[in-house]
Amino acid sequence: MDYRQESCRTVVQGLEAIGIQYFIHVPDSFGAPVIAHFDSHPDVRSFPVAKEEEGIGIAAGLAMTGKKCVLFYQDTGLGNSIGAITTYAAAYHVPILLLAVRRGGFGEFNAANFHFSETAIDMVDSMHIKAFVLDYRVPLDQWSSAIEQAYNYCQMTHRPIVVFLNLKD
Amino acid sequence: MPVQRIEALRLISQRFPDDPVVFTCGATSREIASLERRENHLCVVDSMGLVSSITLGLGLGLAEYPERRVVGVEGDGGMLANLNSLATIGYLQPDNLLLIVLDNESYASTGGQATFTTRLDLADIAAGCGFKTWKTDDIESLDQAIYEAAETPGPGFILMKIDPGNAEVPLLLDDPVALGDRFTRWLGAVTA
Repeated sequence: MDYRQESCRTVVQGLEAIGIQYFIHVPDSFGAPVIAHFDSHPDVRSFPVAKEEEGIGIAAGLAMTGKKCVLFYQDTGLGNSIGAITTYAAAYHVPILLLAVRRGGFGEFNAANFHFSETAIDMVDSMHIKAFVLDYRVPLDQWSSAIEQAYNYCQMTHRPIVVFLNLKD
Repeated sequence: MPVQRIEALRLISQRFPDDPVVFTCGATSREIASLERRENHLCVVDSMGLVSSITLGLGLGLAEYPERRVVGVEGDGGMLANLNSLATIGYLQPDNLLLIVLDNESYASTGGQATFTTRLDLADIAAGCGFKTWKTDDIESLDQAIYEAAETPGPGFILMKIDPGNAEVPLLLDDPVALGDRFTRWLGAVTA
């Protein structure tokens, strides 16, 4: 099993350990195995959204009803949703977990999106949005636990939290 | 004589006393807050365009309570800022969701600049996305549309044409944390 498959597998493990009920996603090629897994999951409602910003609103609404949900998109999508993250999820203390698949860093091939991706972590940090990074520096056997901890942490601290994932080989 | 926004809001509040109602930013939140403060009201004081998406999330989360309607009150400018939300809602077809768009054909909270609804019909767009729709332009037709929408499995969409003016009411200066906490505590209590 290659790195991408193994990292996607451990992301799935982490989300299943949380017991998520809703998996909201924007298409992503690197994370496609994760999306495919939850799209066919019998106990998880999985659906796409047309744009990242509306995903923040939907996830926030679900969270306010006490449902367990996660939003899964590329980190470049943070640019389409940072307004909603800061002015709604953060301002109203709504705990939502955002999984942002990196479109920069080692293994990236697209010459247009790395500009945003490489600064995305600093961007959310500068806006005081808590973020964790899972990439080659974190052993894969710790990823699922880290994702579960990140979910619990956003619940305990009443805020949105971003986990950056580098799923590239 | 076109209906003032505050009069439409008064009716909406009266017709949904026990259901979650999400209000859009700017003058809409200010006006409903000036009329009354209710625990089932969630005022979104910024995040223009996000009301329909928040309402969708609430609707999905409350799907196991079919007796409850989940209502989003949006403006034409806000709806235009997140038109793709209509497609997502149409795709998911939540039975319990109702959007009411108060359309004054302008960005009334920012000086009255014209919006696209001077030429486009949001109800027609919503119908194309799979909503059941109603078009209204006075209090009586709005009341009838609300009655019918409440009896019809959704998603529903009521377009209400209103006057472009704003009521002279105070700013809504509450901490968003307090606004959200009051609403979610109510939500938790009624769904316990």
